[in-house]
Amino acid sequence: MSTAILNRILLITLLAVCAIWLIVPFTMAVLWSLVDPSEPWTADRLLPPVMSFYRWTNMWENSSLQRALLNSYTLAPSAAIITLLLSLPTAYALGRLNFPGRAAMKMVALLPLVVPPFVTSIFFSSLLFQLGLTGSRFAAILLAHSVLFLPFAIRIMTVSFEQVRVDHINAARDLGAPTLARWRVAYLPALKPGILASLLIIFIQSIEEFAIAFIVGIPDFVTIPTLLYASMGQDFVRPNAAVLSLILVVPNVILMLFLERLLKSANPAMSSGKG
Amino acid sequence: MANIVLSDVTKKFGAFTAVDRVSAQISDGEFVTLLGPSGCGKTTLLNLISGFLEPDGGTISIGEDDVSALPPEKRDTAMCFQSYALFPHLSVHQNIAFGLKQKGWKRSDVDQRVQELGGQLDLTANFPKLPNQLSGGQQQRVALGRALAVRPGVILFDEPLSNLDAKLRESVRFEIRKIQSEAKLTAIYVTHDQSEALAMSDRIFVLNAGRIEQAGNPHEIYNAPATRFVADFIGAANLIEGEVVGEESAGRWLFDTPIGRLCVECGAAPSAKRHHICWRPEDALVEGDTSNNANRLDGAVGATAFQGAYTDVFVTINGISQRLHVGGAFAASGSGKGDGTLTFRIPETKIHVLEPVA
Amino acid sequence: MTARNWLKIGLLLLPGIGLILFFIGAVIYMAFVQSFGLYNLAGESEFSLTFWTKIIARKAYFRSVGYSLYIGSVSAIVSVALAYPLALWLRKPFTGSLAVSAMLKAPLLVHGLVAAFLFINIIAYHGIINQAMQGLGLWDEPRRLQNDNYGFGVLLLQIWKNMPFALLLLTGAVQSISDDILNAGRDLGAGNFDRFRKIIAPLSVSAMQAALVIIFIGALADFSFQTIAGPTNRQSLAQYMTFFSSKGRWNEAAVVGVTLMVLSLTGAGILTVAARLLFGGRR
Repeated sequence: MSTAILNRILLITLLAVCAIWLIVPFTMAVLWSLVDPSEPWTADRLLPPVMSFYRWTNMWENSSLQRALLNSYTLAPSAAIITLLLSLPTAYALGRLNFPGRAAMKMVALLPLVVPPFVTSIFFSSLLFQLGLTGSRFAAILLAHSVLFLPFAIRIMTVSFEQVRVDHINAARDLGAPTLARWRVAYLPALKPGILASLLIIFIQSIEEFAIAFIVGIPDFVTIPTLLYASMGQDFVRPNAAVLSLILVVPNVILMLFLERLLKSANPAMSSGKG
Repeated sequence: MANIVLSDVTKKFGAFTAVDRVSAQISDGEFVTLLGPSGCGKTTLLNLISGFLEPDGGTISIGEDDVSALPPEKRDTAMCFQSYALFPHLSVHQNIAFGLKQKGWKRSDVDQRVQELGGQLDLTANFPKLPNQLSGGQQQRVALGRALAVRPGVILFDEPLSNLDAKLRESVRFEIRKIQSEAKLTAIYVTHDQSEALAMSDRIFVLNAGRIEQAGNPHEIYNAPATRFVADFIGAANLIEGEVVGEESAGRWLFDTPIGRLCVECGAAPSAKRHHICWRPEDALVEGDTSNNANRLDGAVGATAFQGAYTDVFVTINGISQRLHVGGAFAASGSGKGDGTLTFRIPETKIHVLEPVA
Repeated sequence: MTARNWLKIGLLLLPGIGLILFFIGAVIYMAFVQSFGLYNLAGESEFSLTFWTKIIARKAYFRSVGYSLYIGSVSAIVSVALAYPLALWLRKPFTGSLAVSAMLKAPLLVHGLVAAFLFINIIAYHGIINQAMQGLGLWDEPRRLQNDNYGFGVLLLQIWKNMPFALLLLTGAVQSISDDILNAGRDLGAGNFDRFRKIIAPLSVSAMQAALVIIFIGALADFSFQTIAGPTNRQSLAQYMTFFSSKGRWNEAAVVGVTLMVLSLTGAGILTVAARLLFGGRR
């Protein structure tokens, strides 16, 4: 069998599997979110008998959805900005300075990723108790997220700093630029893609993060993932869970696709004028 | 050690014909070079013979068998790649032994053969090393050893010296030829470097736009080019158009050309009224005996470039620039004349009649 | 390196590495010492091995360990085993390969909890799988697929979520093997299987190891898939640990936490070595 025919068969099989793998689950979720409570969707019907946006409006008005959205979407940008700022001095040192133990430090930066998430959450909250920092849950989660996502920011910004070209810096100095101007013209162009990528990645991670929000936040501080988790527990109302799932997924997908586009187009920009 | 027969081999990529009905026979033990500029089809032809491409038309036979549809792993060919393509995770010893292990040889036989090649190619000291620990020249020899190990019917070279520096190229050139002729291997060698082709080959196939323009031994190709393309691609040539005037005497024909009337000793009668003709810069005689006036030309000296063994001199005759190699030192004042002109003659036997003007 | 230089570097590293070392170091430290009875939040602190000895004596503990190891290793191995042929198939572009690639990687964009919801939706009592099976006449009545006793639900979710990640790593590794090298293999007589075993596998071992280790660690420490779709007669280590911490029994939670970390490291080490032994690699 020639490769072309084999490819065709595999392609069709895989498309069929993907349909089951992706399309069916999501269609079910969408349908469930549209079920009107007047008539339940029983097993004998293919589609919900009555469809409406009741669930959506109900969740918006009556549940903790508004609070969760507010919490998640203020937590994420704050975490992104703080993490980025915290990472910059370290990334500068790791990216541009030479010192013994540099490679080891790069490995240490990955430490938060190695510890299992629930271990981190549980003992972080224990630590907070010990230190008496139990005032603001928002602050606690923000702190935890910042530490947790530092590896990403450090990694990305170190690479960005490494890509700042010495000859650009030298050219700027040679032409008489003071420090600030040097930063603007030699450093910033190489750092910009990294900064955007870092902010975006941490934003996405923070929105999705579950373990810390669950252990440290419940029951007062709700985020979308914890709300979704709760809705699948004791009082499992399928349509409500469907609504929450879609609210969690859709911005996520859009942001991730945006990130992918950014990373692809960032590469030619990063090698500014090389060659 | 097998012969190769190519019969009307054709390969197309979409609308582009890379190899156009090529037919040729290569004898057992012969060293043939496929020579031509980029895009002429030489690498495609090599890939067709090795099996990495399947021909769209025609057949390829190696030895007794028609191998046109056979994949590379089943053909009795071995290739030396331009990039060497050494397996990065295997040592030099393991790289050379790879093909033998594939054939299922016994461990002791494999070791013996690898030792033999290591000695021949001076690689024994490097056996335990990985490819990235070797220099370019050493990697090249490992690639050669790997291909030779399996004693293939045909050994193929894809511009193997292009990544080496000039000095190394010359010495490796001799090594390859020596090994090939000692082992009596049939070899097909692809290059765009004419000096390699002239130095190494039993026969040269000059390729242009997917077809063989001329096939012959290096002397034939250089001294009796058949077309403008071959004349210009190998060595330098002054190309002009000539109109046949008539036969002066047996085998000597007169042509009217833009630089004057030339007498050409070409033997057979020219097939058309107008032909392209050429002569080589080094064949010009500047201080000739003045008794012979055939093909004596006068030209105004333009640019000159000292090349060490000779000087490149460009003269203009009737507005057309011609190139000569003048031996030794050459003053712009010309051979004694001192007025910026140069007189020279071209021997009748050194003018070549090429294809007719279309 | 002058003292001044060291000071400068120290200050630069402080907000980043310093913070990480402090907090994560504190977390690991706390987990360790609390498992030995020190640093108690309520009551006295004194060094004691009783927490360890008591928990290890419990059947639930070992069941948890076994179950989590099972989930971790099966998820990792199956994800990589599925991803490898797909990575090889998608190595060279062909019509539709981009679409297939994108579709296979789509689960990377979906949050784990959402995946869990979609899953239980489909296998629910009146979900589409039950309906389809009944409709096709294969089953007489709906079966309870959720929370099955073998953890198949959790495994399926882990593989759904992680196979694309393995695919991502392996595709990169496999595409970086130059065509010339594979052609050289063919030229010297290696067929499809030999080319995989002798050239492709050794050259992509580090990607395989990375995929195995990362997926293993993640699946070992899973909480949400387990609590939503997992068997009710078993607990994953994370679930077990949370059970203790929610009751304020920090010391026991610490023991389980330390177990989790130790298992992560040793399991990762074993998988790395096993992959290298089975598939070879650069010496």
